[in-house]
Amino acid sequence: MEMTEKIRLIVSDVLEVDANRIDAESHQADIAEWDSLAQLRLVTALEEEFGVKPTMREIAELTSIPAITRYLNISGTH
Amino acid sequence: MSTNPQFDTPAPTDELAELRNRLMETDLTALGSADYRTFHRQLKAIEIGSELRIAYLGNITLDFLPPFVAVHGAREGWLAKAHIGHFGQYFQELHSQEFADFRPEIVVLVLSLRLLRPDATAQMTTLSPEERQVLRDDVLGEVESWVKQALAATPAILLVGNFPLPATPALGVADSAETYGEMEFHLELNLGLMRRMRACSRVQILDVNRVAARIGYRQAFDTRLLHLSRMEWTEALMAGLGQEIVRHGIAAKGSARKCLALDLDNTLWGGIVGEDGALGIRIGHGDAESEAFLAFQQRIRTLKDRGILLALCSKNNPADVEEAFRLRTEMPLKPDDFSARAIGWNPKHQGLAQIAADLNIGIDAIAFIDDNPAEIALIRQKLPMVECLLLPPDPAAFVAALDNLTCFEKAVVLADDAGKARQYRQEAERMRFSAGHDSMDDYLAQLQMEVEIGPVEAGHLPRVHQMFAKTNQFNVTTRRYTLGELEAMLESPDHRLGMAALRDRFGDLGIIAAFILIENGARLHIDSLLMSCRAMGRGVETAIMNFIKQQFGTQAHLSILSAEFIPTEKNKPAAGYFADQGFRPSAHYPGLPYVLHKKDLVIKPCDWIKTKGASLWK
Repeated sequence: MEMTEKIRLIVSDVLEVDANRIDAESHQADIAEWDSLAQLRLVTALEEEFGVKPTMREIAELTSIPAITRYLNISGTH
Repeated sequence: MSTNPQFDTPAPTDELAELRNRLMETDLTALGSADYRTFHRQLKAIEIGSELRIAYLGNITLDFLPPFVAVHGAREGWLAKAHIGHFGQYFQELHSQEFADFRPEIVVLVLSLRLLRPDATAQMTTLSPEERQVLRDDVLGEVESWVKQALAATPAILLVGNFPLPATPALGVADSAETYGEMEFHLELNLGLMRRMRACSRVQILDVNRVAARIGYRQAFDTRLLHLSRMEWTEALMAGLGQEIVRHGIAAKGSARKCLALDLDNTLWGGIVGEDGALGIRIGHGDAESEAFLAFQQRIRTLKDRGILLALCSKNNPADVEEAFRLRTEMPLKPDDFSARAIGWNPKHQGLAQIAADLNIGIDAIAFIDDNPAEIALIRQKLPMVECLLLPPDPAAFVAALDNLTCFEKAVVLADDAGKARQYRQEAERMRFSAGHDSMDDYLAQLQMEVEIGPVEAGHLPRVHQMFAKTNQFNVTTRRYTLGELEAMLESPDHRLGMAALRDRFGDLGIIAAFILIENGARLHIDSLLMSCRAMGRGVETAIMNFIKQQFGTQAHLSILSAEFIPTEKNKPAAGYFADQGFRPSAHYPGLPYVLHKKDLVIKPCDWIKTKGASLWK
């Protein structure tokens, strides 16, 4: 599965929102459920799935599907 | 079953039952967070079921914890509902309408020491030993005053979280040389908490520190989360706490399983006794594998002391098994430790059914351990209500696998529990004794029974509560009162709680019956009356009713004794009870209770029991 698609499904699973509401360009600001607590659960899910461990600064930047894709392409062990 | 104000009647839906079966076949400790999310999503789609209402209060964000509790709860057939208190308002929350309307059965309190006393914890090393002791007493005092208010505000069980120890004290190895150093402070804080909470019957420690240590502090806490959100618990810790909270739930509801049925070959010893012989099986000291089976047997023996009945369910020749127990005296488990046996060549689901029948317990009160995947698969298919544990390949891991079972949790281990296996053995002696008598009357007279009936005192409450939680057969209304509700009844002027203890020529059976009488003007109502199955079939229920009648007779202001019977799937043995004791059905009250007017009081003879009564009216 393509990386962006994989991320889209994880975001949908963690936030419990319909996958159709999330696209390759979605941003935290577009999705009400994506609040600061959900952000931390999302990071935990990404860590489990991709074997990464973002720093606090990186976590603060993982606020959109493109940003997450970029981060994982650089650091991911997928 | 009855409706109950606190613990709802289990009425699991098919979806919940199906999900539960899948969870029962899963080792939840091996799941990742994606698995938990999947199970939790399926669980959220289920709407009706037996509830477990848990309120979460504290000074940290606890929003992430309930889904983990829900998945572990579903494994027990419960739909866990959560009420999360407003951040930091754990005192105010106790008095809120929302909290009262939620009617929690369990209230969890978790406090972060760092957030509770930020200044003091930040400069722990600059405090004097005296200041650290003041800090300890100050924190314990705050928790204690919360507990006092909570006990008054709710009949729920309170789970008070303790404080994780620092992984590294600031002074390093020198900390232990320090008078009242950082570690000593933390150890004493948790020790003090445990000791103070032990004094309150409805309060238990949620051992956050132990759960975190089992997982490993590095896996349990995440400092990134701490600085980003002030909540440092990882999902691994929350999964562990989810199981721990459900363990407390099982203990609080009294829904522990009663019997552990065990395979023999490669389960209790290494090798196959039918092939290797009694002297060839591996158990005891000597080699590593024998040591591992020895440790496993020792661990199982502690379950017996907890009041769990042990049984054997094994495909073997009974003579080979006899010989193994006779010749291998180094085995910690002795033939007498097993209250029932199904040893032979029948399929094991028949063996388990026979064990349940012999012990007079439900098949859903059994857990089964075997090393053979095919046997486990058969039981899961034929008897899905049995908790099955498939042993891991290495006997070194057996004890941990047993410890991971949640189904034997009790809130307290009662003195009565340790003697349970002995009582069931005495029961077998009674059966043989009864076979030697021509008539039932003759047998009962020869038993030399003595029953002591009187008011329930506070010290009896744990055992009485255990009976309310577990008694299914001789139970006229099956009302599952919580410890908190029973405590409240002891204080109420309208309620009389009574109990009966029995002994006979074979030994002491302990407290075997309990009842609740409620005064309502001139009417005395029997709200509950239940008797343990080990006292059934001896006329003890008649002695108890005679006592209630006598007590009723002595109170001039009472003129009617009333009672009700609520049928369930299991309480047929009590169905004819009131009619048998001279009650008449009455149309005057809703639910058709039975009544007995004072003028119609007749004492039914039961001369074979010597009764000693203590008045319920002081």
